[in-house]
Amino acid sequence: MMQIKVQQFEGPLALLLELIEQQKLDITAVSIAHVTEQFLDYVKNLQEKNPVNLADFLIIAAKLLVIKSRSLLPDLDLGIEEDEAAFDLTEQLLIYKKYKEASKYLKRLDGRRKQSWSKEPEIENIVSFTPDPDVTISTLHKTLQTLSVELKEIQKLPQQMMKRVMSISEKIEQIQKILTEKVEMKLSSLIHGAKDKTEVIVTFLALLELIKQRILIVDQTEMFADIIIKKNT
Amino acid sequence: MDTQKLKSQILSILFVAGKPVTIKELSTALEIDINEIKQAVTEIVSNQTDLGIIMLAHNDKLQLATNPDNSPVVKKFTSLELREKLTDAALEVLAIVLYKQPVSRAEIENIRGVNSQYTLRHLLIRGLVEREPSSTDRRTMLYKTTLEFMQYLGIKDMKELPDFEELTKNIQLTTPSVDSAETPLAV
Repeated sequence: MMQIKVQQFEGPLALLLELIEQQKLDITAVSIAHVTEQFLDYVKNLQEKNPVNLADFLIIAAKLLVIKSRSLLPDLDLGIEEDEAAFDLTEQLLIYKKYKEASKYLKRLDGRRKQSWSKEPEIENIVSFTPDPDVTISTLHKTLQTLSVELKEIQKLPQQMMKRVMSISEKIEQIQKILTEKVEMKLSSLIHGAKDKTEVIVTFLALLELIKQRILIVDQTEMFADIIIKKNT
Repeated sequence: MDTQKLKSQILSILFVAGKPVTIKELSTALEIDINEIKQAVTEIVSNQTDLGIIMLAHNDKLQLATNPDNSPVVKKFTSLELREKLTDAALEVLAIVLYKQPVSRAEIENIRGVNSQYTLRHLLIRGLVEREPSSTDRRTMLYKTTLEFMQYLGIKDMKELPDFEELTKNIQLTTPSVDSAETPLAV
């Protein structure tokens, strides 16, 4: 398996592009499916080291899984919206690659180290601060209090993001738990309990992971029938 | 008015103004039609490649600046330092703003696939981009490059930048060959 050096990637598209180019592949749905596993490995690593950008990576991870599942299960009916989203990824990657090329051009310009100066830049750029004449000790005090409350709000947000994002492993545990109690379960009932689309995606991802690890097997008796999930014995 | 005289007057005003002047302000001050001013500006810009003092023009704003070819001597004489280089992320955002301006943060983030809020803020602080509300939706801010952007990269004329199509014509769905020619830099 190709080793990904632990390089910091700015974003999921940068990572995806790098993975595809490393393999000297063209940007197609097939090559995207091919590098899905490495992409997910990177994301798993990211989950531990740097959860802040994780949400951006997960969106692309979800799209990758859709593309990959399509290539494995061509009859999988995802509905038009999901279908379009998956194949837009090729377009998106191409556009990203073009702007990356443009940015390389700017970098070359930057590297020339040729710059202009205008006559009064310093004065324009010097930031000076004069307090509002209405400022008193009590207004300053009140403002700082308001600010500290607002800052607490901002701190709360990343925590919320992390809570949602961690639930892939929680979902995996949940599915495994259900299967210790029941012999088998249906995909429809598993999804039925989902609160929102994110949870459906998370459930799907968890399922795929468990199938990959051969902890579960799935069965579908006929096209478009419900999928039965069983523990792998 | 005689074109030479007009160009001369424009340059004098820009010199004494120090900061960027809009075409509209010039038009009002000189009592000359905006299109005549624009024409004069175009002529000044296309004839200034080797001059010591050049006029930067973008978004109907004008400013005089040193010729970037003279960076080394200017730097030596004054205490001015070259502005710091930009990170790859910043260059990506800048490239998108440059070729799509005016462009919103959402469009930028759609292209990059990552949140670009902090990078945009950094570019704003450095004065390389500016923003203004969209005319169709006052809640959305649209970003453009600035005269400072031109100064930073040593661009004398926005027209010397390659077209986006020309710059990216080798980028297709197939991988590029190892030794693809780079778009030559304007000297």
